[in-house]
Amino acid sequence: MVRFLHTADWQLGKRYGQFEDALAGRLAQARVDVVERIRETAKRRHIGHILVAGDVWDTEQPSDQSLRQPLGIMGDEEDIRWWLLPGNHDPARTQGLWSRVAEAAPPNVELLLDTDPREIEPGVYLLPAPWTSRNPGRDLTAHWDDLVTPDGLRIGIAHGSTADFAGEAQSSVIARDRVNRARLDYLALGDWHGVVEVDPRCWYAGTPEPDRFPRNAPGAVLEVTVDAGSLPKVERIDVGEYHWIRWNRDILPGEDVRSELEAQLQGGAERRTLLRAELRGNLPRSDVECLDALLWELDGRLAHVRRRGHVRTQWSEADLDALDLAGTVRVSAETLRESDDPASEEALSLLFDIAAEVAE
Amino acid sequence: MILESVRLRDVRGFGGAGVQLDLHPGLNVLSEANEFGKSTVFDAVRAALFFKHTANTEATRSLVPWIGGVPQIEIDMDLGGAFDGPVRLLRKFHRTSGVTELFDIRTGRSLAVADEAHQVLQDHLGDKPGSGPTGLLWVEQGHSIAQPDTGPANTALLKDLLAGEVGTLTGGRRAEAILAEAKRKLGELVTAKTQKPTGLYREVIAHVDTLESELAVLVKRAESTETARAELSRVVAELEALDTDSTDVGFSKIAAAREALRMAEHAEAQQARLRSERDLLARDAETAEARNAQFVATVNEIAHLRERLDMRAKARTGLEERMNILHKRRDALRAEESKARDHARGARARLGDAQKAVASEAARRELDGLRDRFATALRADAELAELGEPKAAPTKSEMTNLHRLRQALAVAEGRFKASATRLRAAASGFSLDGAPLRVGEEIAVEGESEISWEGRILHLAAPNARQAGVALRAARAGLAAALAEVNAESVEAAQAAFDAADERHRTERRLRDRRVAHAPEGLERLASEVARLEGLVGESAEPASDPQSLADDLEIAETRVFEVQGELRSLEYELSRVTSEMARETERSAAAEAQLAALQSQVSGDVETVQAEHRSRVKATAAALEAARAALVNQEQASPSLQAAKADVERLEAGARNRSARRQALSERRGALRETLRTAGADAIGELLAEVDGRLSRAVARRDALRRRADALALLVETLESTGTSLREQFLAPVKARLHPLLREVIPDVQINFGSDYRASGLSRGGREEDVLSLSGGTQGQIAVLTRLAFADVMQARGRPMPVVLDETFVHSDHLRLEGLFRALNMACAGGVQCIVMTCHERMYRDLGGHRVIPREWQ
Repeated sequence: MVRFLHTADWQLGKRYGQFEDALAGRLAQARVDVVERIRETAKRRHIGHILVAGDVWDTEQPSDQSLRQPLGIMGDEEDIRWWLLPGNHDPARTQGLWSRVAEAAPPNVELLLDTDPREIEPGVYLLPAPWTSRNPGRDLTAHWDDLVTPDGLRIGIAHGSTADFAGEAQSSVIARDRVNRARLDYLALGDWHGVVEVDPRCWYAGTPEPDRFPRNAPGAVLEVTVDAGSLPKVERIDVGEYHWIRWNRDILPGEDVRSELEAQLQGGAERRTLLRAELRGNLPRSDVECLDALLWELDGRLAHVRRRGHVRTQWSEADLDALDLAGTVRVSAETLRESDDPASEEALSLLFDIAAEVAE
Repeated sequence: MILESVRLRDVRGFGGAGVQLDLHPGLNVLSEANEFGKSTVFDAVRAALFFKHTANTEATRSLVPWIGGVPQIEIDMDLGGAFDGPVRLLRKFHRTSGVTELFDIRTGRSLAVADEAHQVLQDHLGDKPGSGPTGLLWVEQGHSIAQPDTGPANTALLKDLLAGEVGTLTGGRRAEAILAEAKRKLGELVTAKTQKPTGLYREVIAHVDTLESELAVLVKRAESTETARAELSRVVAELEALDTDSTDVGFSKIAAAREALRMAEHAEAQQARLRSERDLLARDAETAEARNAQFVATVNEIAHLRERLDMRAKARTGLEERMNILHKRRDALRAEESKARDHARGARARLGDAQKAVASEAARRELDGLRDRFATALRADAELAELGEPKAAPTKSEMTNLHRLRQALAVAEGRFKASATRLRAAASGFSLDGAPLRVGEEIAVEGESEISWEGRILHLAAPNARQAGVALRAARAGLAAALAEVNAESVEAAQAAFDAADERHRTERRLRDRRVAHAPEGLERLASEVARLEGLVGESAEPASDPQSLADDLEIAETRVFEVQGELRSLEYELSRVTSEMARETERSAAAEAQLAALQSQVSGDVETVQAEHRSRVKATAAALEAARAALVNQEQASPSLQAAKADVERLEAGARNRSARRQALSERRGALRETLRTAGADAIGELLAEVDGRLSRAVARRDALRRRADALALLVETLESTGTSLREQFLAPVKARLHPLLREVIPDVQINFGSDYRASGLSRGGREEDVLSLSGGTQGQIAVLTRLAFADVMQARGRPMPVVLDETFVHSDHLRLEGLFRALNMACAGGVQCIVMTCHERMYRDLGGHRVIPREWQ
């Protein structure tokens, strides 16, 4: 039997240029800090091996800080062995990132730069499938089918999409039944940023620190216990710091979305929560104003609010009457309301805003 | 509002008795002299309607009479609206005890007082003087030609009134404020004229450009890193291949090549030995062959020499025979030559004699000629001597002068004869100048003379004759002088002397010519030549035979001598040549005999035997040489190529050196590339790339948002402006409709245009636009009155009647326009507009019509 933590897609050194500088810095730092939490999780649970299934770094050319700080965290606990696999973001190319890693890595960090099986514990063989280029164009795990290891447990570690749930054409698709064809007891996969069970013996651990507004469940590592003759035991352990919430919603007139949104925000510190509100609807002006007010409020409460989608305003006669009963302003508002010009909706909103400013 | 009456007391010049003006609903004319106080009435009404009773402004203070008092004003009017009948406004202006009160005239009930009353007025009229319909339609004296005051407040009110939107006064103002604010906001994003981005929008666009540039630089650096990485892979692969080649395989190849070289060098030494042996044998064979050949040649040469000696002996015999023949022939020719010489010598002597005889004959004939010439020449010379020396005679020019002078004398004589008075005394007793005249004597009188006869004197004057006489005498003197000069007595004598001299001269020349012709060489030379010929003729021999035939004989004889001599020379040459040939043959024969003797001395013994020995030796050496050659070929074929072995060694060693150099270069390049990649990695290009890309996305989103906002603002501004324009046209339509008939009465065939501020901005006339401010003052005033009447007409129709007050507005109008204005005023007032015209020109307004307002004391 062997126990280990399965994780992947740390993508250390990732910059968040699309966010304001302060938040971008905090998000980048969180990706380093999560390594420490993984280490502490392993230590707390007396786990000796941590398998990182690719994309340890976000780029082949990270800064020295992005490279050395995580290695330093790994080296702080000598009893834990880290097995790092190059992925598509950080392939093991000649004189590339991994040459720098090899120079800086502490002894307890093992680099899986070739396909030679490693006996990580007596009778437990780790079969790595490292990326050595950005676009290998083949299933890097194919040779496992014919790879012979001494009797014992066979654990594969690879990075890439499996054929049946990759939404797009992939350069290196892993056969979904590889775990059976290669007689593996467990296949630790990376690339998919959420936790996904492909097969009882084949899992994606996802990224431990979310880095985008997900459609799955990131922010965790998997504790895996593999024993001969039985299915592995897999437990999800949340370690992520930031909560990235994708809120997609078609809103109907009169609908109260505040409570629903508040429910989404439960479970994480608001100041470490990022919200992407992709909203659609055709709402009365009062509803739009309420929605705007809610999002403005969240913008203050949360780390970040990103508004996407398009909520159209239904301009009622009463809205226009409030603006003016007749005259230039009223007729202009009616003209804009009926216009097909793509700028007309914002122009009408501006008319209301400016009318309010002028009245003050 | 329609004014019904106005009463003033203690207002400026109107004292305690006050004044009262009763007005009609239509046209009212207040025609009073200056200083009546028309402007006071105007100011008082305005103050009553707009100023609070406690107001202490210049406008209200100016109402107080100079002797002091509380200005009091009453206005009866129909306010319309909520008031069902006429009301009276009572105003007293005092800082502490002022009064504002509205009464119902019919009931006398107070309707409102103080601030409440003031508010009622404001609701109907506006909140201050100069604004609202009064400001629009009332005109103070001195401002009659100004345009209506259409400030924003009036414009808004007008729009409300015209559109029937009473109570929405603020709507128009808001539109303008909103438009201004929208423009301001748009102006923060794009420039007004060119719509180019500005301010924040421009900064964001520039930021996007900057980030795109940064991104491009980073991408380029990343690409260069990729290039370096690819090159490094190639370098490492090549190094690994070189390392493989450089190991034992490479060294063993070189060692094998060197061993092969050693073997090849050994074989090469053996070949050299065999080659030396082959060369020695070849030389032996050549020697044997040469000796054999030399022996054969010697034998052949001996035979050949013997044949040649025989031939030479025969040749010498032939030469000797030839020499004998030539000697005989030479002797014969020499004899013949001597004979020919003698013959020629005789012929030459005969020819000389004959030639001398011929020459003597020729000299004699020449001597005769010379003697004739000499005789003739001597005669000519004697005749010349007889001519003697020439005599003096006039020259040709002197003769010409004499003839000319004689001709002039004849002319003078003729003239004198023609002009002189000739007197002939017919009787005696006449005397001329005291000298008595003989009877019958004819005397020519020239000049002045006196003829006397018997004591009577006749004075005779002939001036022309005297002049002719002078000329005649001068001609005579001239001729006489010329004759004296040539020493002749007369012209004829001079001519004879000239002719004689000329004849002698011609004779002398003829004799000289004859002497020269016969003795051109001179008489002395001719005489000596004659003497010489006479000598020749004296030596002449007897006449001889024909010289020509003798000359022919001589030529024949000499030709023969020449021919014989030529033949003799040819013979001598041939003899000499044969003699020389004979000597050479003799010499050659001697040499051949000596050579034969030498060769024969070389060939000792039996020729056949010796030759057989030589042939045997040649065969033996040739066989040995062939064997040596075969041995060498076998050795060469069996041995490795030394050159190839050397080339292999050099090639492998060069390859090793090249690999070493290449390995060194590749190692250095690998180090450089590793350093490049290490630096690139340390620079964190990957992270920077992702960060700049993210920033760019954010900036692009920001830019797009601002662009959308600018588009929306532009659309809003455009919509507000186009809507405003459309509505203004709509609002002004009724005004224009009412203005048109009024305008036709005053300024036919024109159309008034209104600007965005509702002012009459221009005038269209005959398809041409004219700015209203460019019109004359009179026309501006007329347009002002007509547009006010039109506005007032519209307000009347909307239930908001307002009086039009005109104070001396027509003073700048001509007679025709004035009549038109009167008609327009009456037309407007007939439609219900109340109009109050104030003037001090009673006569001018006599035809205006309307209600004449008669001021009276306050009742």
